[in-house]
Amino acid sequence: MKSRKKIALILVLLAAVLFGAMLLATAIGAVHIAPLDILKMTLNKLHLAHFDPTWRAVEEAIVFQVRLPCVVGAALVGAALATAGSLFQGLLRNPLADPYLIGTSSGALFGLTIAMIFLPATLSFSGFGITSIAAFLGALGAVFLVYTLARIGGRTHVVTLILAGVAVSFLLTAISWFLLDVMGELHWKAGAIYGFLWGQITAVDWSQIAVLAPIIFVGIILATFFAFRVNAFSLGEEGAAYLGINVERDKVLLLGIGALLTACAVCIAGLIGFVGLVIPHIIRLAFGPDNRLVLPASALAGASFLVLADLLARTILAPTVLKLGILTALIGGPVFLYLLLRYRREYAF
Amino acid sequence: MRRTWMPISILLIAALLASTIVLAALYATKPTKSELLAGLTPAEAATMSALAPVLAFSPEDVPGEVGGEPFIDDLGREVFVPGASSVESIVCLHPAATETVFYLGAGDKLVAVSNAWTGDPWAEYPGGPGEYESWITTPEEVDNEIEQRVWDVKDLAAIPAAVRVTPDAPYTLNPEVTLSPQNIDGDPLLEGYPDVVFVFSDTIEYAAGIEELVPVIVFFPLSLEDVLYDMTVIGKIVGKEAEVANLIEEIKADLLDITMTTLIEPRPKVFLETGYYWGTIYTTGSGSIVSSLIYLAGGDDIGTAVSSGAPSISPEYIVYEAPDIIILAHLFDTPDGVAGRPGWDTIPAVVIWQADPDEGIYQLTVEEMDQITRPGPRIVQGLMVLLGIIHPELS
Amino acid sequence: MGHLIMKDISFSYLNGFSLRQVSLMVEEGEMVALLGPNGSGKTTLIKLAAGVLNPERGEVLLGEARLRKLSRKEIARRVAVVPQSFNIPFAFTVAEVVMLGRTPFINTLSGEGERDRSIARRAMELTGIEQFSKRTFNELSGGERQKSILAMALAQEPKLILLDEPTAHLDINHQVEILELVKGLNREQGVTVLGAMHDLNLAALYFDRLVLLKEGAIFAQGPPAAVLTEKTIYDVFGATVHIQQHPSAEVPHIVILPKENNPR
Repeated sequence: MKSRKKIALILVLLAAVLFGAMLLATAIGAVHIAPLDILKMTLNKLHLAHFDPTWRAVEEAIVFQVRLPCVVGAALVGAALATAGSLFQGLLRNPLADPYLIGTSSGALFGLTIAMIFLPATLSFSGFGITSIAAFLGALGAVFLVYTLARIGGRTHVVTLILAGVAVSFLLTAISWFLLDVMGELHWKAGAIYGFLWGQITAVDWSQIAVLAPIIFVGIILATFFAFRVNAFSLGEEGAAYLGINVERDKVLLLGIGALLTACAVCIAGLIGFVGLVIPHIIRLAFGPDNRLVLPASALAGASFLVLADLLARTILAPTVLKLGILTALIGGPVFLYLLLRYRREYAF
Repeated sequence: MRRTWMPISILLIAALLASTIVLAALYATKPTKSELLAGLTPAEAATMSALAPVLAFSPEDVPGEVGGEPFIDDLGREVFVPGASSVESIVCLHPAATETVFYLGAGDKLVAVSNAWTGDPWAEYPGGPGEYESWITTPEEVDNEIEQRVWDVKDLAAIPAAVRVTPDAPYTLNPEVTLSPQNIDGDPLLEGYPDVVFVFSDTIEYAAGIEELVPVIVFFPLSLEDVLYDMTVIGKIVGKEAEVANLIEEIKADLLDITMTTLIEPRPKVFLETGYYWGTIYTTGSGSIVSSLIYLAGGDDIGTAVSSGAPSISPEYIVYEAPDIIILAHLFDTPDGVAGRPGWDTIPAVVIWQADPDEGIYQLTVEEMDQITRPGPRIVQGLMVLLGIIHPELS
Repeated sequence: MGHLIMKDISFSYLNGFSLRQVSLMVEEGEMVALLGPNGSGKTTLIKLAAGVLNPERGEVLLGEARLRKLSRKEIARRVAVVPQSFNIPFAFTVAEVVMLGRTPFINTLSGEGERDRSIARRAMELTGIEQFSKRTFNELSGGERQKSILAMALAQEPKLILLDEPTAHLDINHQVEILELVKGLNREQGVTVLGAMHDLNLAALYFDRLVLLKEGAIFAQGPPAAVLTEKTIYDVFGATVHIQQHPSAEVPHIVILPKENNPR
């Protein structure tokens, strides 16, 4: 068991990495702005210093209104997905679980489809387009559906949950594509669906962050508090019950937190894969499976990873923007393969 | 064994990753700016390089005769079209080609057309040849004109790899159904197959099945002179060579006139947005027809920083380039929404729009979008739309 | 405090199996075994005693408290269960697994404290697995894993330990080790033990009192000599055996008779 001190040390280290990544991502972008200028601008903004601007007003706008929200957004989304992934992996006792397992991705796609077909594209509420809100609600709705389907006699067994998740995913995905095809919308909306399916963090603004950041923070903190309960779940639901865990209640609570985190991530970034699957694995391999460390560490590592991936997506072929989800899959896929090859024995069960 | 092939597999995966990124970088390269002719700014050079091939184009250079020399389509395929001096029945799955056929006065040869991309099938199809004004007919007039000749498709006996065409089908083809035009009451109007099929695509895939039964001409114009080439091919196939030669001369003259007036004016920076999907901004990119039109209309298209193959563009770049004019060629966002994007309130176009909603950010109507993006006879009208936006004092 | 009373318990599963009005009492400090064929209700009774299942009729009392009225956590602070095995898909160390036994006592906000750690350490010492504490649980042998699970149960500082066929998949030496440990705890710490056992001879050797179940009801109970007779074994299991005195302990020993040697 890691001591408190060691856990704190590791978390501080990861936080430093995240901070460094965010600095890097703010300094570099599609447009070249001298890092020194960025530093001066920031100090000005924080009222820590007063430099005469050697930069154009437009550059300041780019840094603080276009780039920085994307960096912060990427960090939030990465943290949310990685935490949700660790939660699901721990609760469902399955190292292949990812945040989309119990229907969140297909639910979001379904919500998006309904909104795109039946609602005017330009509705929005406090910075969130109608499609984002629909994706959020769809994700949560699907999880709720999966849960009620899997509930037998007051209990939801893990296998039933996973099966129900797969079934609901198939169904909702099929209905969504069917609607798009039949309503003749596919040609029009293909671009929007494509953008959603492969994830993107290009248009985040501060008002969206103001809404999502508290939710994501609270979710991650709650999950970390309940980490020792997730540990107990690794003995199985019966074993956890023997240890005094109120299994059904905690399952609902923790799955609910995971679903909420995922829904938040999906509603601004679309479907970004591999973060929720691979990051917790790496953390576990590096630091052991104790969720008291894995949950917060995954959050920090996931945030760093996505910030850097987003940086790559924005700059490799600047000013063209690559899809973030494609990049995470390109990177995550081989890493996952590597982990599988290297640690096959530990995964055999 | 395990020890040796593990590093090898890691190397393979790393190589795969690296090559993917390298390939992407190579093929999505920023376009090379046109050669700097002595004394011209890059924008002027772009304009000239858009105009020059148009002026140099001549219908006589276009190979192909019905019943004679094969045509060469935009994919480089040689297509032999049998017939006397022209064909009698055409299935046209390319809205611009449909417009051309009608404009040339050969609308009666059409037996089936595809749904126009805008989703509103007939509003933009002109009814006949003539001047620009008469092109915009009411939907009812056009409906009557075409109704007689555009049919629902019924299945014939299952002949594999033919094409289903209905007025409702999107332009992508379903390569598995038979083609049998009949009129609305079910009487067969055409026995067998059409003489030729026009298709818009960048691959032969869609037409792969049909071409065994019917000659298929694939159009995919990438530049203004390609548009003229396509129209010439169509003119030859429908037996209206004289009309098409006229049309081309008119277009060349109009383009030259407009460009000469805009060349000497100061060029505003223009950003034309073709899509806004889940936060990703799309433009047409360098080398595209629309981009050429923007230059000819006297603007400086900042979207040429990305190539037309991968036309997503970073909002940072747009804010940095500070365009004076933003044109929305899609319906996925409104000028309000554009003005509200984070950091965009520093853009001159947005500032102008906030002061006067008729200026700065321009939302094109569906019809205008067609004129600009449909590579057909109304290309000059498209240019006029842009001119009206970019240099209203000249139009 | 540590005595268990199960009064007139009725419980049925969806598949039709049921316990009918079973009453069972385990005195504080007693070590009682539940025996019977598969499907006779041993595991069901264990789960009812652990509070994981609720009886349809009847009452389970732990000390003075009615199990129904206690929360899961409160139950877990008094009762620990040692099942056949745990399948843990993550690479927890033995120390971490044993520490899981402190879950019912750990406060959400404060996490584990020094006291929890020393209790866990002591549990490992008692079961003789301190040298494995840093090893991965999944890498241990069956017997070592079972000892770790026992240590985890001990870390709960239970008044009552429930065993659910704890020796089922173990080698013979490990079977003995586990039961010796449990017996030692019972004698020295006064921990009450109720165990479902499938091996009749081991039950006879280590348990004070045996309860023999047949089809959801108690068929016989009492000291081993009273319960394990050739007749009862034939009536309950349908097997013909020969009972003889165990060479060193004062309990019966069952000798299995292959069919050809059937003296009757």
